[in-house]
Amino acid sequence: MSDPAGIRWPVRAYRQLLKLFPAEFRRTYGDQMLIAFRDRARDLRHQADLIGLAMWYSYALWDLLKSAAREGIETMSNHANSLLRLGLFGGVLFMLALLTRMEFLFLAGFMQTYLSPLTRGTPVGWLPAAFVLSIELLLLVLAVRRSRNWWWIPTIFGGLRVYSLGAMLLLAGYLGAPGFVLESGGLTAIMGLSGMGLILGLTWWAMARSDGSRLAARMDAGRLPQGVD
Amino acid sequence: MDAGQTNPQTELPLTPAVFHILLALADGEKHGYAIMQEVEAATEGQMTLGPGTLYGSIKRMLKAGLIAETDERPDPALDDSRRRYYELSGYGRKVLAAEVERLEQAVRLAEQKHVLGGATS
Repeated sequence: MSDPAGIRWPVRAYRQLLKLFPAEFRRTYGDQMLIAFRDRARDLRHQADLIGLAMWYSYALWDLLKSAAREGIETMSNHANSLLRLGLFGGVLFMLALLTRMEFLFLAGFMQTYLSPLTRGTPVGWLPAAFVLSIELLLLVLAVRRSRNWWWIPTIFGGLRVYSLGAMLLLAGYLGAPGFVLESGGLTAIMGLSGMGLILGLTWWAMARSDGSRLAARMDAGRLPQGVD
Repeated sequence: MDAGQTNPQTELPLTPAVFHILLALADGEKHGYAIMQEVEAATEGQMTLGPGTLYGSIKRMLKAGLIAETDERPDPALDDSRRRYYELSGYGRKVLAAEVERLEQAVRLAEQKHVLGGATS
């Protein structure tokens, strides 16, 4: 049965808005929600209740946004352990980036302004920076391949690195990169490389522990909170 | 079965949405939109369940074992075959009865304190 435009377009919009729900909820209940939304709209249209129809659309939109937020929060809270690990992991990486000044190294190497205390005047910073960032990129690729449904963990991890890179570039520009890099060059190289072991270990640990099936089993075993909805 | 299913009291108090959904299913299985219609009619329009609230509640009620999805489907010629039908479980019926008793006690208490009718006077 073909619906008039006054129903067809809102139904299409509603279908798109269902993407706001967590994927699992949407897969299970998305079609049912769409049917209920459409049936109500059809009934009101059949009754020629155009004001009621407009009110239904606005109420259903509010209901959808509210419910999507609730389901999203519930899904996130069910994965609290995973998020905690992710936060810890991201925090460690961010602090490591600060400590090792890898972005300074990269910036300095790119601009060929890195001056090692041992090889003054030689742009050697490019190589350790490229090495460190290559390993990090490799870890990201491996994490994405390993993580399957948990692709968002390395994605957020990568986002944090981009963020820290941007912050560092701004700071480098503000402070004047060459002088700052000169002072911290030796420490940067040593800490940057030794920190890779830590990053590698943490990545493996976080990915191994964030297995979706184990989390799902933990969720299933959990008791629902009272006062649903 | 959840550990909490042995004692309906652990589910109380129910939220208005859950209470009315259970009540709507008390006289037979229904699909989502039929539940929405029944709740709105039973509350004389005071409560409208949107699809998000309805299916969010259904998800939690299924997990708590208050309702169950039925396998039976009406004739596809008479109804949308994609619809899912839900029915009250035995545990859900006990929880509903416990909630009604709790509300009855509250009403009796309100009567004793002569507060009924104040809202309309």
